[in-house]
Amino acid sequence: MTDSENPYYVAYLREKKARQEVEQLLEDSTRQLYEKNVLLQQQIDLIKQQQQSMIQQEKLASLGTVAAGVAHEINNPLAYILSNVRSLISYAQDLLASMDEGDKQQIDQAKLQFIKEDLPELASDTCQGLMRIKDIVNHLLFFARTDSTGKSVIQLVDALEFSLKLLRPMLNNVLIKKEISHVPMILFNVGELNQVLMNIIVNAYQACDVVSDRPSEIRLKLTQSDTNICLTVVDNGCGMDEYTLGRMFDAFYTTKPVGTGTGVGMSIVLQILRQHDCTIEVKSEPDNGTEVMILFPIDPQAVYMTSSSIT
Amino acid sequence: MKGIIFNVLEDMVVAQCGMSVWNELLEKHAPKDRVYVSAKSYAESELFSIVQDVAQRLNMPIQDVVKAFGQFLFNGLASRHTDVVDKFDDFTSLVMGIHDVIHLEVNKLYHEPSLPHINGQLLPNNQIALRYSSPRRLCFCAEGLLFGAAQHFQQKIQISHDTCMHTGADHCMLIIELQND
Repeated sequence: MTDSENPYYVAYLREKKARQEVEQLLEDSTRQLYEKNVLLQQQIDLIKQQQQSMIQQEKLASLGTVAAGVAHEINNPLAYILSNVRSLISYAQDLLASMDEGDKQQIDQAKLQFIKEDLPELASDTCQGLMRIKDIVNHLLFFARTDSTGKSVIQLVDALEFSLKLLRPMLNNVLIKKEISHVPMILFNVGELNQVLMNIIVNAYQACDVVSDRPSEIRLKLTQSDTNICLTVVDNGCGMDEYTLGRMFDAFYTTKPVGTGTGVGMSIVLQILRQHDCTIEVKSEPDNGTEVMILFPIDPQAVYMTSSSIT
Repeated sequence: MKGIIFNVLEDMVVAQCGMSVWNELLEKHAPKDRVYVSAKSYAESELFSIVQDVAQRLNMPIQDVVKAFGQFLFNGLASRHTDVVDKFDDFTSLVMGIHDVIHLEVNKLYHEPSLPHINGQLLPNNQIALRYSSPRRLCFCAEGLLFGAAQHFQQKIQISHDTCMHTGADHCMLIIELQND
C-alpha cells in the first residue's frame, strides 16, 4: 500500500493542512501586530519630538525672564556709569584746555575746586557700578549655564538670591519675606538648580498676581535637619484645588490661559529634583495660597567642599 | 532555525521518501516527541543531521541535497506567503528585493530569525551579483532558493559560485546569469 492509499497518510495530510491554516492565522495576526507596533512607535517618536519642542519653548520662556532680570539689573548701574563718564569727559576737556599753553582762557578756580572734589567720587562710583555689572555677569554665567551636565558644589542661598535678583522686575509689587538659616553646600547641576528655583518662584508670583483683594506675599524659608536642607516657598496666591494639585506635575497640564504657559515647567522641576535625589511636597487650598517644600539631601562630601566660584 | 524550515523539509522528505522515513529521521536526529511549530526556533544541528542522513540514504552529495531542498523551500515558502511573492513582477525584482522586502517581511513574522546578509547588484549583460554571508554557510540552500524563484517566474538562470565560504572565503559570491529562450 502506498502512502497515498494509506488512510493514516490522508489523515496526516488533513491534520497538517489544518495546522498550516492555524499557523497562517497566527502569522497574519503577528504581521498586523508588527505593523501596528511600528505605527505606534512612529506616534511615540512624534509625541517625543513635540515634547522636546515644548521643553525648548519652556527654556526660551525662562530665558526671556532671565534676560528681563539681567537687563534691569544692569540698566541701573549702567545709567549712572554713563552719566559719570559724561561728567568725567567734560572735566577732562576742561582740565586739558587749562593745560594747553596756547589757550588764553584759564579755567575758573571754583570749577577746578569742584572737579577736584567730585572727581574721586565719580571714579569710585563708576568703578563700583562696573564691578556690580561684572558680578551680575559672573552670576549669570554660573547659574544660567545649560551646557554643563555635571553637578557642582553650590551654596543654595546664593542660587536663591540670584534667582530673586533676576526676577526683581517681576517681583516689584510682591512682599518677599526671607528666613534664611546658614545651611551646608549642596551638590547640584547649577543650571538646573536655577531652572527649579525660577520655576517655583515664578509660579508663586503668578498665583499671587491673579488675586486682587490682598497684597502679594511670598515667604522663602531655608532650614536644615540632620539629613536634609529644606527650602519652603509659600505664597498667598490663588492656590489650587485637589484636582489641579494632583495633576500639577503632569507634563502639558496647565491652568494658565492659552499662550502663557506650556505646562511642562513643574514636570521638568520634578524630573530635575528626582535626578538629584530630592523630594518635593506641595500643599495648597483654593484661595489660600500654596506651600512648596523641597528637601535637598545633605551630601557629606559637599558639606566639606568649598563652593564652586561664582565670582 | 525556524520551525517553518523543518516543516518544509518534512514536506519534501514525506513527498520523496514517505512518512515512515520522516518518522525514522525524527526518531534518530531529534529529541523525543519533537514537533516543529513554524514560528518557534529549533537547533539547526537537527536540520543538518536530518539533511545529512537524507543525503546518505539517497547516495547524493550533501550540497546537492541542500540545493534541492532550497528549491523545494522556495515553493514551500511561496505557497505559504503568496502575498509577499506577488509583490514582485519578475525574478530580478525578487532577487533585488531580498534584503529590503523579503527579509523585512520575515522580521515582521519571526522573532530573531537570524537572516543571512544578502546584497544584490545588477551587472551588465543580464547578470546579478549576489553577495551572501551567514555563519550557517547555507549558500547552496540559497542557490536552490534562487532556482526555485527562477522556476516560479519561468526565468532560466545559471549560477556560478566561485567565491565560497566553504573554500575559505568570508562570503559567497553568486553570479546569476539570466538566460533568454
